[in-house]
Amino acid sequence: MNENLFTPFTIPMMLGIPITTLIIMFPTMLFPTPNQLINNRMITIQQWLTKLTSKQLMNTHNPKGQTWSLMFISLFLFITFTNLLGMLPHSFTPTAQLSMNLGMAIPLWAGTVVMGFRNKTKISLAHLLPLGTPTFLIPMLVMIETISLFIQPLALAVRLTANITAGHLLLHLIGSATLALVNISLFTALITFTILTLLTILEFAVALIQAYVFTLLVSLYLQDNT
Amino acid sequence: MAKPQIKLATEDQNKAICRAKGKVAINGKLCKQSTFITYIRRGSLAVLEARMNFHREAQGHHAGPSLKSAALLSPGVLQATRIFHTGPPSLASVPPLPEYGEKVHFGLIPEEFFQFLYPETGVTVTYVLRTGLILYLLCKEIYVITPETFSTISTIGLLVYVVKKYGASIGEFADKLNEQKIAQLEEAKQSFIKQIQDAIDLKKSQQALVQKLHYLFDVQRNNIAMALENMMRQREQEHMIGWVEKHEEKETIDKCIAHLKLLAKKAKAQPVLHNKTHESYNWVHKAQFVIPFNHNRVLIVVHRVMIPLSTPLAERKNWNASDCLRELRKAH
Repeated sequence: MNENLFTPFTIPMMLGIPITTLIIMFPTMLFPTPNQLINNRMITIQQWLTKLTSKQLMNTHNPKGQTWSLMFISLFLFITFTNLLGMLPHSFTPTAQLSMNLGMAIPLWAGTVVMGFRNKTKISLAHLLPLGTPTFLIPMLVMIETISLFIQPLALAVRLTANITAGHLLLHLIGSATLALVNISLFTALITFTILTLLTILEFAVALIQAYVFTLLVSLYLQDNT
Repeated sequence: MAKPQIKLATEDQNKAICRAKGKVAINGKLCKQSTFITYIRRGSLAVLEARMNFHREAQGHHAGPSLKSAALLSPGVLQATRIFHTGPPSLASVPPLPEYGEKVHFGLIPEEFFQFLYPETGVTVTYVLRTGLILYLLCKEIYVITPETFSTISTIGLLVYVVKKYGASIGEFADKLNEQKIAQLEEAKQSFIKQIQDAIDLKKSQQALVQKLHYLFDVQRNNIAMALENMMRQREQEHMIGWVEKHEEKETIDKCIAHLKLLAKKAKAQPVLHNKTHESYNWVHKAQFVIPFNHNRVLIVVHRVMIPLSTPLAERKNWNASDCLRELRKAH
């Protein structure tokens, strides 16, 4: 039995050793290296999805920004598959941990910002002030824009963590409601179960969307700075 | 206990009897199926192996003590365990590897497991195993019903539904993608081949043209030869005129003219020998007739005639006035 609501989010241990690293590396096993020109169905579909996503993401970038394509596609595929694997019963989702998401968000964001400041210092600094502000508001606005700039990685990480954690928690809660209602009123339990099914569908969608949003935002930050 | 002596009927006989009476023939007698099963239980694999080997020998196979004789197991196992085949190879081919897997229960347990258990348990093995396993896990609280259970049911149910409904179409989509790729490459290959084929045809037509080029050269050669001949004739004529003009002595000319006339008549009367070949004749200029051209000029039409080799003129000679007179005297 679970002691509290957050038991599913604890780091899984095997013989006292945390196996988080193994779990994080597991999605790579689901992407076999294509050896031939014409591959099996799984690899074909993966290649098709990768091509579709990369075209969608990197279309708007200039050549300098497009050097980040591999990074973005890896990021997107990793977060997608980690989230989807987390939907399986009794499994652990690494992306529900804030530490992991911060570890992904901060280096990526910092990379874009540093690149911007190194290559286009004036333009990067100019981004700190929106066009057409009245003169007396400038100092305040610069401060606000700086704060919003530094909040970007935090927002990225917390967004992903909150969505995944909240989704899993909701599933758990509604499941426990169904369990409690089974003894009381079967009909209500069935309704709750229907809600649970709908929520599961939503969770699958959220898993995909959140991954896409994360990657898209990082690519936007890159666009600003290249 | 004495082992039951089993006289094995042939498979066809057995089948026919089974169909007729719903019973199994053992020792020439018809027995109930339960008896057969009893025999199976007692003798089990050995009996069946003997039966199989009997049939295989009847068909001409050598029955060695090897795994392949155990035809109870699926063909898949047979193929996979090929490395363990120590006996002599079967003369006939082993059963082919099936293209698609057998039915699978729970997505985990293949149908062959139940077929394996069939002799011991019968048809009910699937249901009993399923129910019993679930009840055991629940009763002993090896699997506990938690809120997670319901989310499990919804998640797994959703996944199964999606796979069953859209699985085939996704597979077809993947196949279509591959086919498109192959079609693109095939098209590129075909266009390249066509390009090269067109180049080959062009070269061949050019070669054919070149073959016929010699006709053109022949015609040109003939044209040039004709032009040259015309030029030579004109020059000869002018030379003759010039020569005649140079030696303008009236009396000699009159004498010449008279004698030439006679010569011309003689030349006409004289037959030309045709039985000799072309090379034995010599082309010699002979004056055919003389036309007064102007008041002080005369046009001598010179005719080329063939004279036999017997004449002392074997080569062509440039005639001058003395030669002309000499010939005239001779002709006289």
